[in-house]
Amino acid sequence: MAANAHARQTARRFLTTRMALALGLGVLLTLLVLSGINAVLAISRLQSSNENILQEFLARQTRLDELRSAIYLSGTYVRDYLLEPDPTRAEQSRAALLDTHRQIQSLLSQTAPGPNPSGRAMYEALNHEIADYWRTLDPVLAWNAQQRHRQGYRFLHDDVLPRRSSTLGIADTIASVNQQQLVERDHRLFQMFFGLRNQLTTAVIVMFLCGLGLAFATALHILRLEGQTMAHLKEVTNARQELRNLSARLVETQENERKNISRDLHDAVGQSMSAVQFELHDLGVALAPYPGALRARVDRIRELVESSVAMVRNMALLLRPSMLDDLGLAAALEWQANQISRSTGVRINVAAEAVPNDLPEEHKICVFRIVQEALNNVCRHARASSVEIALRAADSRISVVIRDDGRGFRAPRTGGLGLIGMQERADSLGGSLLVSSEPGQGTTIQVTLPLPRSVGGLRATAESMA
Amino acid sequence: MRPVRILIADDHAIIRSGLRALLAHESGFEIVAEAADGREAVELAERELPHVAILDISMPILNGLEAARQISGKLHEIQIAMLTMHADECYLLNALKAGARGYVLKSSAEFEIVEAVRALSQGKAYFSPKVSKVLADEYMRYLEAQQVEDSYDLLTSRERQILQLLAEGHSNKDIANILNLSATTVICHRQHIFQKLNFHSLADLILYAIRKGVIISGQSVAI
Repeated sequence: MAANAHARQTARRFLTTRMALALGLGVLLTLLVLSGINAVLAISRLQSSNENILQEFLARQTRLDELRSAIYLSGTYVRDYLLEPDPTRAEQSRAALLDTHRQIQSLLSQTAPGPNPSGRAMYEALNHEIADYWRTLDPVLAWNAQQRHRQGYRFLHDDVLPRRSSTLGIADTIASVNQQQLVERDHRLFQMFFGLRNQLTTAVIVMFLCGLGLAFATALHILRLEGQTMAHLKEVTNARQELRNLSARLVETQENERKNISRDLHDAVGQSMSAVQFELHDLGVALAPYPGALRARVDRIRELVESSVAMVRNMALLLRPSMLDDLGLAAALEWQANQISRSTGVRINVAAEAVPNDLPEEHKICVFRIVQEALNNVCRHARASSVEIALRAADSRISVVIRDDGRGFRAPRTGGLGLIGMQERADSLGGSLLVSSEPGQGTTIQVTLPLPRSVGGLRATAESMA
Repeated sequence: MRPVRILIADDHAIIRSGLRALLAHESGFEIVAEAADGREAVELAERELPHVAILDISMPILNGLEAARQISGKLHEIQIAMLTMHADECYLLNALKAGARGYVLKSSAEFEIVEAVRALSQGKAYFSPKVSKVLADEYMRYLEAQQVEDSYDLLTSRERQILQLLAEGHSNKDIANILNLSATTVICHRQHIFQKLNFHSLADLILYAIRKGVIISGQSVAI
């Protein structure tokens, strides 16, 4: 229950963390998109206003130039009109003058005043001046030839030329004002650029900080996850190790129990029965003067005791072969092979090589039980006619190979408690167990166990039995 | 005649007292030491120098086989009889290798132990008839199963005689006297036997002799 609640709590914490991270990422992305859009808009705005300004400036400049040249031209026409003695030509000049007047009027009407007030005042002044100029010219146009001849030059010199000059001066001023306006607008453009740069810088800084925070949070989260994963891994490893230890301890306990029972059977029961035999023998001797029937009964009891002793001994041997303790591993394996051979008819050959005398107890029993199980399997399933058991110790390792010539089986068979038990026994001593088999090719089981460093000082000579 | 000095080693007091009771009945036997484990047996054998040591195989601290090996290694004149519950060949072979020349089963010790001690005290070997029977049966089964020829047929009658005498525990010199031969001839025959039957030690020879029933020792004592 507690574990469950803990799991739920962990899950909830993960959910909130994930939400927070997702939110952070969303904000960061939104910021990025917004500032991008803003920058693009500002730049396009800047670009278009820049173009407008330039075009406006150029158009105004062109019209002013045209105006100026028209005014110049009008001066020329006035002069031609006033000073031309030929009336036809004068009339032509007058017509051209009127044309120019119309042209100037249209140019003036096209030239809209600029937005700033000084420019507008200038424009008003120009308008005014030009109107004055034409007003000055108006009476002259009605003059006849004599009037023109008489007053023309003076009028030209005194009225027209100064008025024209002042008009042109105003036009020049307007041009310079126009120039000035361009510069001002340029300046404003620069300021807009500056603002955009500031905006962009701010956005980048904010996003960088956001990203940094997010990265930090993510790193923290990942580190925590990693820590949890490691903890889990450790837990699982520990649990597996514990399981293995438990299994090993189970096997060990079982072996100890068997050994104890076997020893009890042998020592307590067997020996006291032997003592009973001695006593019965004494009784038999003591009964010598008595009738045979009595002695026969004692004999009968003695036989019963003898078969009981044999039974107890066999039970003890089944639990644990005393050869393992008395004679060593090789002899115990040979005995076991002999026993099985006798009861099943399978030929079993044991070859032992360089097996140390001081083999640890658990290694002896491990190898013995594995071989016992393997032989049981052979007799039960393999239909083999012969089995080779090779036991050898070398390089601080002991290995035993059990090879039969039976029918074998298809390799990926994990099955059977027997094989698992063998595997677990080998595992418990840090060893390995390899089963290889093919249908019709027999089966080979190879077990290798590492030996403690201290083992192997005393080597037994190779023992082998017919 | 000097009494036969006997050492008894068994970790069970009940067996020791049983043996003592059996042997004490016999005239000419004297139990000079009792040991409860192998190490004590070796120490007492060195101190008391008995003629015959009766050793249980399964004993704590030092088992009977190891004790026999140590005693026979140091004190050749002490004759050793193993006392055991096991009629298996592997036990007998190991007992022979350890230098024991007597092998008595506990299940029939009450009938055999006296005779075994007597045989050993005279320098002869003694093996429980039941062990001989078990071994002989096993050997016959082995010959049948393996379908091999019995190598006993390879021996000449003189060699068979010498095989038996060797198995019974006689020395080369004894055999030379008994058969009226020179010691070198006996050694020569002995080498032939070892070659023909592929023996590596006297233990192999004795085991073979028991299997073949060449030596029949330990006639059961009728009550």
